[in-house]
Amino acid sequence: MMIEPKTLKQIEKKLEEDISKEIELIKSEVFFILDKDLDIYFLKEFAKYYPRKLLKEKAEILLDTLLNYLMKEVLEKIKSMHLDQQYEFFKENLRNKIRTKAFSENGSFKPQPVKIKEDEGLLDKTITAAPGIAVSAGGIIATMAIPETVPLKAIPAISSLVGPIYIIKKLKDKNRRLKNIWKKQINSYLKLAKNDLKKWLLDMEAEFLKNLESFYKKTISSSFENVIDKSNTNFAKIKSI
Amino acid sequence: MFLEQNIKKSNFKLSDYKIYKQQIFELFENYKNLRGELNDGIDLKSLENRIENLKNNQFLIAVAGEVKAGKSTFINSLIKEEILPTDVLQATNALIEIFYSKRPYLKVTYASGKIEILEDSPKEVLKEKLKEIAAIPEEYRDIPVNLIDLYILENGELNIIDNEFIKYLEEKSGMENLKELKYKLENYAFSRSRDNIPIKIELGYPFPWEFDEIRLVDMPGVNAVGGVHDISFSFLDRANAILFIHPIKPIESESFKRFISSVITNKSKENLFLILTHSAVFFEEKDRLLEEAKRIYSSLISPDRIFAVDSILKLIYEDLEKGKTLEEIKKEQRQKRKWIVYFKDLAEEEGLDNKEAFIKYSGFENLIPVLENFLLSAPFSELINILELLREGYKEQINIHQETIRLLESQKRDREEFLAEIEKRQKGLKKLETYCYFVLEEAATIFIGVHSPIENSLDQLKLNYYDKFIKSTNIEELRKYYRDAENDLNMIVQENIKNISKFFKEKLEQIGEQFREEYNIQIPKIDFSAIEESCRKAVAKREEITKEVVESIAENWNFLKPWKWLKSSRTKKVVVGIREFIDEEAFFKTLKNNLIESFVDVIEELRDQFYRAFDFYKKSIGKLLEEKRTYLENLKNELKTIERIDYEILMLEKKIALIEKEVKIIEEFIKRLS
Repeated sequence: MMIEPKTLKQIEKKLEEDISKEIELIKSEVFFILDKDLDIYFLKEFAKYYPRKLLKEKAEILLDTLLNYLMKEVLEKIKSMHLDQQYEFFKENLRNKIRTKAFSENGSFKPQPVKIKEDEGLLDKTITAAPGIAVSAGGIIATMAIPETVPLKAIPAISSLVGPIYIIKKLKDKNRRLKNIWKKQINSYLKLAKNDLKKWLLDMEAEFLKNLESFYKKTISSSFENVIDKSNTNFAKIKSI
Repeated sequence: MFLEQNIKKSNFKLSDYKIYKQQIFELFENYKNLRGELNDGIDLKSLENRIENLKNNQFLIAVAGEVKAGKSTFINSLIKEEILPTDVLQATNALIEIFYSKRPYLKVTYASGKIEILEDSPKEVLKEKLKEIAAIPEEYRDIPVNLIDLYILENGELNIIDNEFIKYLEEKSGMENLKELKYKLENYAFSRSRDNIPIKIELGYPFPWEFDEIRLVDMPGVNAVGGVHDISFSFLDRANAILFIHPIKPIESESFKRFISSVITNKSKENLFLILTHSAVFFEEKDRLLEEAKRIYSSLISPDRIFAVDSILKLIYEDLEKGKTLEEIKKEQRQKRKWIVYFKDLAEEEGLDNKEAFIKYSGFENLIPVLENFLLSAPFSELINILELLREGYKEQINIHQETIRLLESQKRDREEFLAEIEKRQKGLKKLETYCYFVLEEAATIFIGVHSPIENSLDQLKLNYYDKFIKSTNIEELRKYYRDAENDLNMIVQENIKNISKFFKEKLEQIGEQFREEYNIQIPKIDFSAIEESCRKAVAKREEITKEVVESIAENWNFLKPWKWLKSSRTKKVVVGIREFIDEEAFFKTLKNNLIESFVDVIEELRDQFYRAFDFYKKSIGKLLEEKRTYLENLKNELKTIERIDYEILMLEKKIALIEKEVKIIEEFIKRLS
């Protein structure tokens, strides 16, 4: 084995800490926005889509972090090996292999959609449409404000825009209640997502170790098992120049 | 802020710059010839682009200020030609771009796409035309013509002027009792169409000035009805210098404060100058007022950037320069008369001759060198950068030639020895490749992942700007913050890219010596500045996309045009017979929401770009090593006669001598520039 089980455990521990930190960051970012006095329709969409989006983003960065940890350990070992073995390892391009796998259709991290309470009754009451015309106010405001060029994911499906008059009434208390419900829901969503994320990263770690193992078998255990070419300056030495 | 320091330290002149530029073009041609097919590590394509940019370099000066602040007179005095009409109230939302052209040229682009060109017309004709298109006709001075034009720009036509529309105009313009002027509004509105509303005015003229690389942009008044136009903003962002024109008295300027606090970006602030005009009117108090301005605005703008000038005095000076006498000027131009009388006396008292006196009293003597210096500090450092690249390329060429000579000599002495030498180098190269791989992995641990500086900065920046977006109280402020955020983001990415460059450069330099001693191989020269440039461009491209997004939200005047917001229901309105209203507060809120939403995308895209930039470094290093390997392989396989070897050595030595000569010229040049 090129990475000791003990070291691997330490890496996983560090990774776990990183995951927790990143999940906390996502939470504080989402809550930061939710706490603001913004349009409730926007916030609803925000709460629905944003945590998932951030999770995907953070997953990629965490994968790089994991690869950094793993590579650091492996390279320490590789550095003391024969130049040809080092060269072979470099040609293997392990980091890229794992990244490619991680972002492939089958291997990528796919967080679940966020399910939040959609109290349509409460939302609809905020809108007084022109007599006889029911409209979704969030949709209207958004359609009007956004020029064609802006891709807007946070806008709910736009209802048929026929309503001529609308007024937004501020129902702050009700909104606050709704926001608190969303926060709780996001909290539990992130808890679950954290586990999924961890599992995905550990799968990637396993993939890395599998590849490493096969490289080791292919290159090192065949002809040059444990050969260390003392005549070659090792890279730890070069590094310290 | 580095630019300010440069102002104090250096003394750049436009005339010098032009000569130096020409010399660099020649040196670059020599470089290309001497380099031939050799890869000296300098990215030729990127260097060619930089040379091309230098050739097309233009300095954009935006002249902003309130209506009637004296912008047009100021521009006239700067370009030494009284071509912009000054006795009219500027009405257009179109910018006027003014630049040097050998032949007089006026191009007006109208909203319908119609283009009108006046060529080779005398100055008076051009002036008259400008007056016709850019000025508010006398009879319409009391109605908000800009807002009406804007409506037509967006909707094509205006068929009816009803009370609601008039109310809207009143609200937006701050003008009162427009109802009483309904007939006037109708007269004006019905005479306007997209065919006669200009959106861009370009004026080329053989100005008798030395700034032929400068493009001046006369911006519509910042307090002009309807606010600042979207095009104005994009110009402000791109401008190398922004001159805000304000009358010297009253010195307090709300529009200037607002311009700084909520119109221009933090980045643009570094290019800002405050020009206090009409200093002749308050000549006795001028110095005191200037000092007061420096004190009042000390938190907004550096005191070195505030100037008091008088454009009329400068124009009198220009007349004198053209050979006119004061008497003649007095007779021809009555508006200059009282200044001539007053300042002629003052000049006599101070024992100055007329020309000396008028340029001194105009204040332009102080402004021009500082402005010129400011504009040139960045281009001058670009000249030095290019020269340094040429020098580095040449040095690498010498190394490569010397290495080839050594190999050829060993081939001449003994073929076995030669092959052994090549093999040794090949082994060294393999080791170098492996070393580079380790360096790249080390770089990954520093520059990517959750602990990387870029991730930390992005997280912080995001929350900071969310807060600003949410707290902003009007659309202008929101737009400014968004642009600030974009600039900051860009800076973070650029800085990180720069750090990667630095990291690789240092690592390779560290190892270079050892590889040369051990394997006789040179670490190939890698043009990190070119890699940086490519990455920067890639990021900038992203920025353009995001800019488009932001501009269209915040700058397309939709907030002024409820008609457009509800355009799709407008036709229905006619049928139903009720008028729509929009809750502007709701609109503003939504705008904020959407900015937050698109900001998230921008950050994601930039991060993505950064990661791609990182890969780009990997590839660039790999490519150079590959080339080096092929070069050695070719040498190994090529068997040469002694005569051929002697000839090649001779040619290489000649080339080295030529290169050394060029290097000497470049080094002297760099010394002169620094």
